[in-house]
Amino acid sequence: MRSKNIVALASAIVASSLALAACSGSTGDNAGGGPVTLKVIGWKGSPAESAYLKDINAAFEKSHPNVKIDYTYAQGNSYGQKLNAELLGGNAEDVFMAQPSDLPRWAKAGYLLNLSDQSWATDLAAPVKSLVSAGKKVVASPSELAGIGLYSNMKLLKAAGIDKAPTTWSEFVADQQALKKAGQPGLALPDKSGWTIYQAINASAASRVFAGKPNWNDDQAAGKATFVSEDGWKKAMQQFVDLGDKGFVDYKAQLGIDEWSQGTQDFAAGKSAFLLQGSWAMSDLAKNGNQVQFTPWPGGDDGGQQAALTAVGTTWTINAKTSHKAEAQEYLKFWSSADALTPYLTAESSLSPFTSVPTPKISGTETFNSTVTAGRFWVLPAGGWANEKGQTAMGQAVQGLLLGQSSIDKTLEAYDTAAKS
Amino acid sequence: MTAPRTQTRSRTLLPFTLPAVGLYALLMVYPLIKTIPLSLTDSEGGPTAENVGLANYRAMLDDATLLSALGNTLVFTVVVVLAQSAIGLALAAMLRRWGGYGKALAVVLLTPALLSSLMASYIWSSLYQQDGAINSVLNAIGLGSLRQVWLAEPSTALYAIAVVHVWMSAGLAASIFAAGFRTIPEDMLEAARLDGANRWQVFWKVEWPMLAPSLTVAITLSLLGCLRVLELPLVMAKGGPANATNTLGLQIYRTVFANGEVGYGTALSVLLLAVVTILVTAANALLRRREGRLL
Repeated sequence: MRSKNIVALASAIVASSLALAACSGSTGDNAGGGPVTLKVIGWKGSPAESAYLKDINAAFEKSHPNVKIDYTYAQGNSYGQKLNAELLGGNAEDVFMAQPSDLPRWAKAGYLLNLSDQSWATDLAAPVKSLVSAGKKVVASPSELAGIGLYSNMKLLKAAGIDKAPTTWSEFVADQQALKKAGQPGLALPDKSGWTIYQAINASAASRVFAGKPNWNDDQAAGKATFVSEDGWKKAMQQFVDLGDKGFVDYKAQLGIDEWSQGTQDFAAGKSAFLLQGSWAMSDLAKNGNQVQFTPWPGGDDGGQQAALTAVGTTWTINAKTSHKAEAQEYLKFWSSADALTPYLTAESSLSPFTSVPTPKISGTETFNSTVTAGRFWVLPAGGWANEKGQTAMGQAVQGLLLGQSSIDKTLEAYDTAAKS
Repeated sequence: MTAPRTQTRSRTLLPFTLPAVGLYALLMVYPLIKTIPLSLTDSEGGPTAENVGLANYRAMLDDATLLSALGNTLVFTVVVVLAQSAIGLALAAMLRRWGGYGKALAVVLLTPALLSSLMASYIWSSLYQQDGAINSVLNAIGLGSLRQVWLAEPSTALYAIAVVHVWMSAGLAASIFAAGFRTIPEDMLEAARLDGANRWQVFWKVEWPMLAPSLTVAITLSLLGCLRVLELPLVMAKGGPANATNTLGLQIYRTVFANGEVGYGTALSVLLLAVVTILVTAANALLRRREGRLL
């Protein structure tokens, strides 16, 4: 009787161990030549979003019958915490979505597979490559180049006698005067998180700094350039101080509005004529039949160079510990093809980060996309001064400026301090 | 004869306490001790990290936002501890006089404490909006000039968040004081009344001194909660505007989870631990001494 119990206990322990082994990491279920289950995690594809991600994964499975995608959606706010814990515990998914600002840290920790030898790595658009690299190694495959620019509600503009979105700062100011005169709502810069105005200043700097000094980021990283000594940054900040002084923006009110929820909802509801947001918001903002135009932020002077602000949005990386390296590489290769990128870029209203995959035509984004296609764009250095830490510090410093607590020089000094640390 | 019996009893009971002590040591003491060496590294959350000595602690001296975070945390703590204790005491005194109705009301007062901080943040954020209920009420009662965007104005944002914390925790403080009221012998109160003491004198001369242990508990718990505050400033104001609601807890959260600076964030949490330990120990010692004088 006793020996029977011992056998039963031993069997239970062995069964539990096998079950635990099966639960951790990816399944090694192709030992007998069967299909491989590739575990993938990302912050895109929430139940509220359209099913484009499901469709892309289904298309991959169809073209790769030996691979099954087990996709996990994790909500954006908790994504980093979940994945960091998994990576530290050694049980992260085979393929995971990453922001460019995470890449240097994760690569240093040895979490990311070197992807430099992948065929798509040579197809990356030139300014994108450094942002998906750590040192000289490519460690991520970008799935979009997102735009950050000006949304204009054309119906409200027409009501004020304006027939096109502004392209220069003087036009932009004149439009706001016209809207005010016509009793129409004007510019919204919802900034509860300190994101919108910080990005609006970056968007102005795209024309005022980078259009003339394309290597400014490299110079800044090398200690040859500072924010406080750059006239273009000063002028970009002055524009926003002037908007408040002229009564076009009530910053105290804007600082109480969340840019990710109420701010976009208000624009979609016709409560503002202009809004700074990312290209990914197009489908939400163009709801209810809104006639919306997405254009580069009109930060430049008349006759000057106008440039667009862009950022590498989502990227895909491969877990260095994956036991399905070949299948994961196939998955990323698929994501560099038009089969995956075209529906994704269409849903996100973003631009293609690969030279061989064209950006899909999306109504309302033509001006922005043609500016980028013409090469007049600047990519945020997410692995440099525009990383998460810099963004928070600079966003808060700008709030202090617009609330009258600080001067432009002091704010730019705070930028330099944040960029150094 | 008594001493050996006590020793035998202690020896008998010792094995029963060991599992609890072992679990406490494993889950509480060990991680706490591990924090110190981690704070001396440049860890970014990965499997390897270099020892950097006291560099993280020296970096605190150059961290411009740290001083304001520390200041915000202390202001928040003082405001909340005072308001929560005063309101909790007033509510407990009211509940004591309302008998059976008081017991029912005590349950209602505890309801906000049962809400998650996240839910409370969303509820109050909507109340504080420019066109929210608070501004509407001010308008309706002729105080429209006091209307504010409460969470976007640096001079009001921290206090607006403190109000939410007090709203959530005043019921708990009231429960602690209500328990204290119940320990006061009725004949002592009766004697005071017979000696001609009015209601205020009964409270001030008899009840208030007798509530000293309750005050110690209420203030200690409140201090612990306030010094580590994170969720309310994170959700309601994201630490802004212009860092006006950035607390030490929020600074640690951002440093570790947003910036990935685990080593530096851990050093900050050691600082927080030191601040909490010093303030709570000092407050506790003062309040215990006060108890000794009064009781």
